[in-house]
Parts: sequence; structure tokens; C-alpha cells
Amino acid sequence: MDLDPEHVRLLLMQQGYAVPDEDLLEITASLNALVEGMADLSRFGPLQEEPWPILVDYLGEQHAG
Amino acid sequence: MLADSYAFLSLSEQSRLIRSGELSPVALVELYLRRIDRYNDKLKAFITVAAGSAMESARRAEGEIAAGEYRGPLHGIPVAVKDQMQIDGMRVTGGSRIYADHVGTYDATVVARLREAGAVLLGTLNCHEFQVGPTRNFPFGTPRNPWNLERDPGVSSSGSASSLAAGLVSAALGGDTGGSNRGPAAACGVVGLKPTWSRVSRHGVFPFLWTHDCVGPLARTVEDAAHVLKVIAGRDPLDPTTSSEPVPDYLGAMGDSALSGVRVGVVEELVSDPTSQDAIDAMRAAFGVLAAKGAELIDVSLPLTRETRFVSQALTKPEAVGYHRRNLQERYEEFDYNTRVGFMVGAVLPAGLASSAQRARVVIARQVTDALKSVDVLVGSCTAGGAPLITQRQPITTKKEALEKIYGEKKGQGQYTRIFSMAGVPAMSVPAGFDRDGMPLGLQIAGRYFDEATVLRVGHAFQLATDWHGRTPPLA
Repeated sequence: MDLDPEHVRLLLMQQGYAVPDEDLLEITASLNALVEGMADLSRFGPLQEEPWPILVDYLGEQHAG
Repeated sequence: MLADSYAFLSLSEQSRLIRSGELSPVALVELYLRRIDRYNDKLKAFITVAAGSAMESARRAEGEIAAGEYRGPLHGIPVAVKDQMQIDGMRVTGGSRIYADHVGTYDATVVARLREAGAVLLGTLNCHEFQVGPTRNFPFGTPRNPWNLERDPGVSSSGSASSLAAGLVSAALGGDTGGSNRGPAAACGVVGLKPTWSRVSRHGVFPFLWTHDCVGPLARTVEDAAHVLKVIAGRDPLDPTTSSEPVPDYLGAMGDSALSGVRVGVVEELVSDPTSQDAIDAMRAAFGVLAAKGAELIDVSLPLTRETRFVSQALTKPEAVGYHRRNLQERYEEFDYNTRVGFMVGAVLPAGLASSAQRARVVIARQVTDALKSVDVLVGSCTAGGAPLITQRQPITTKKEALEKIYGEKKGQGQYTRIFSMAGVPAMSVPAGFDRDGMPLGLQIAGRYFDEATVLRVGHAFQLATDWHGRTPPLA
């Protein structure tokens, strides 16, 4: 189900964003497209991994200390 | 007065001449300032030119070197940084109207390290607003490609790449989140490096996506990029995400040009549709050069490359909006149209999807790191083809248009670089030919975590066997 511009306007207003009408169409279209694109995540498998930034010990010295 | 040819010497060669007293840092800065004055109106590569402080620094460097206080390869070398990095006393805008009058009150760590190495700061370089891109209306002029002024110099470290190609500076810094150093480098025919995430400090750098942002060098040669990386890399107490992994001797690791024993993975998805035939041909020729140097070529597939387009948007948009929240609430219309509508999508994207994107990212990263268990580097095209014409996308009004124009596979420039950004591994673009329109093409080389040395070694060997990096654009 797609959101319409009024739904999106309300969501933005709830967060303190006042967006002009001319922007709202693209925001809505882009949001609906992105939600659709992310709807089927089966191509990535079961998504069991934790969402860490990268595979290195980036805490470095903090860990060592 | 120095001849213009000095402007295109490699940093390494300029450095050798400066150290031996055959080249004056003051004369070199004067040369670049003259060229900036001559070409910047067309290219819009620089936002701020710090002529006075640059001349002062050059005189100081010249005096120090004459007195035997030589600091190293960057001493007396003119550099410039993307207008994303804080500089004490200089205007730093993030490429945005929002910060058009902002003057830095401290140096970003990378800037401080350049200064400590004796580099001469020429100014700040034009970029897409807050490194997001594509910016629609550039507040400081539309950056243009020196190879063809009607063409795009790439997103988002545009000025960093175009200034080098046009011979306006010896080396530059850029910020690379999803390809912002490598894409412009490929488009302009220079070298652009994204180090391993956490290799270089981001303290004092406008963030875009904290979990991806990297600062790295752009230069005319791989050797030059190695000199700059050596100076800026390493642990910074002011950026707790920087690694304490020791910084190796990159120059020493380059060795000679032989690549015997190096296993090179040719990534099928980076040399196939939607890559242009010209780019595919150039890459095949480049792989042949690596093989002739002794490298073993192995076919590799990273099937999730094309899936990065949705995942990256679902990662970047929500994360980026957080940093700019107050300005978006209070000064919304001062943001560029493309920036602000993208940020607003991030503001309302369901949190569950953003979280899923983070997990999908790990799967993508795992695919890259698994591939790097059996090869030393991965290679492919850095872009779909040569730089496109500068155009202004019309506002999008339907989901179908958005799927095609924002997320479409054919749009595709970003997927070539994002795959390695999402993995956090080092990756670099090296000039590797031209398309039929005379626009540069870039060979991308990616390596294992913290193994910039091998990436640089392969790129350096390629440059010793080719002369693509020695070509200069007609403008210059």
C-alpha cells in the first residue's frame, strides 16, 4: 500500500518539518518506491547477522585498554 | 616564472625537486594561484582560495627547507581539501548555503596533519551539498569537468578531482561515503582512494553517513596518493572510531612493478551491463596489463552488487537526516531541492526498514570479504562509463518515475563503488583509458581491510605500465 502526500505531510509535521507542496510529491513518490524496493529482502537470505558497522575491531585501543 | 608544465608534475617529482632546491615552493604556489585565477571561473573547482595564507606558508616552508629543517615529502607541496573539512580561520561551507558564511574555528585532524607535514593549503574545493548529491543548484557555481566543460566531474568530491586534472593543485583530500572520491577521480582521469573505514580520522569533517564516511587522497599518481595517505592515516584520539592498526610504509610496500603472486579477482558485475562497451573494453585491456605484470586473474562474482541501490538509500537517508535535523526544521528552503527531498524521505522511512537495511548491508559486506579470502584484490570498472553531460533532473511525481530515475539499475553509476563502501574495505580508482567521447575511465581496485598497501601496489604497477595518468585535458 502506498502513502499519499497528505499522509507524508502529517508524518513530517509530527517531527517539526514544514515541507512545501512542490516537494511533497517527490518525497512521497521516492518513499513509496524505496519501501517497495525494500519489501522483499529474501534475496539477502535470513538476515541473521548483527548490524555492526564493519568487520574490524574499530574500538581499537579502547578494547585493548 | 615557472612554466605551466610544472603544474602537472607528480607530487613525488615536485617533492624531489623541492628537497634538492631545484624548485621553489613559493614559485609553485604562485603558479597554481595563476592557474586558479585563469581556469576557476570555468571549472568552479575551488570555493575559497586562500592566496594570502598560502603564500605565507610557502615562504615559511621554503625557509625551513633552506635551513635544513625538511619535514618530508609534503613539505612545501600545495594541497587543497574538499569544502567539508574544518579549517581554522577559513570559510567552510559543506557546499551549502546553510553554512555560506561559516568560518572554521579549528582544524580537522586531516588538515592539521597536512599542516604538520609542511603542506601548503591553497583553499577549499567545490562539492555536492553535504556530500549527498546530486546537487541541483550549486551555491558556489556548478563544477565542470576539465575534459569537457559540458560534462559532470562526478559526485561529490567534484572540485578535488577536477582541480587535479586541470593542474590547479598537487594533491587534494576528498570525502568518500559511497564513491565520492573514486567516481570523480574516474570521471576526471585522476587517482582517488577510499581507505578502510576507520583508517583516517573524520574529526572536523561534515558527516554524511557515519558508518560509511571516509576521508582519502586524490592525486595524479598512485605514488602521490600513498604519500598523502601516509600523512593523514592513523589513530586519532579525537575520533574514537579510528583504528590503532599501525600505518605501514606504503611507498616501501609498492616495490617494483612486478605483480608475481598477486591474485586479482575480476568482478563480473563491474564489467557487464549496465557498463558501457567502451568501459568494458578499457577494463579488459587493463586486466591484460595486470596479467602481463605477473598477476593471476581469477573470475569473481558479487551478485549483490546490483542490490546495493535500495539498501544504500535505506541506510543513508535516515542516518543523514539526523545530523541536519535542526536546520531542516528551521531553514528547510535554504537546502538544495535534491538534498532536502532526499533527507525528508529518510525522516519518514519506517525504522524497521532502515534496520533491515543495516542487516542486509552485513550480508553484502560478507560477500565482498568472502571473495577477498581467495584473492588479494578485486577489480572492475569504477563507473558505468565516461562522465555524462551535466543535466538537471526534473522533479519526480510518481513512484514509477522514482523507481526508474532514483533507484533504477540503469542509472547505476553508484553501484560500482557502493559495494566496497558498504563492506568498508579500501578501494581506489586509477585512470585506465578514455571512451569514444574522449572522457576518462577508471579502473577500480579494492582490497582487504587495512591492506591499502596491496591496493596501492597494484595501482602503481598499472601506472608504471601505462600512460593514462600522464594525459592532460585540452582546457589545460
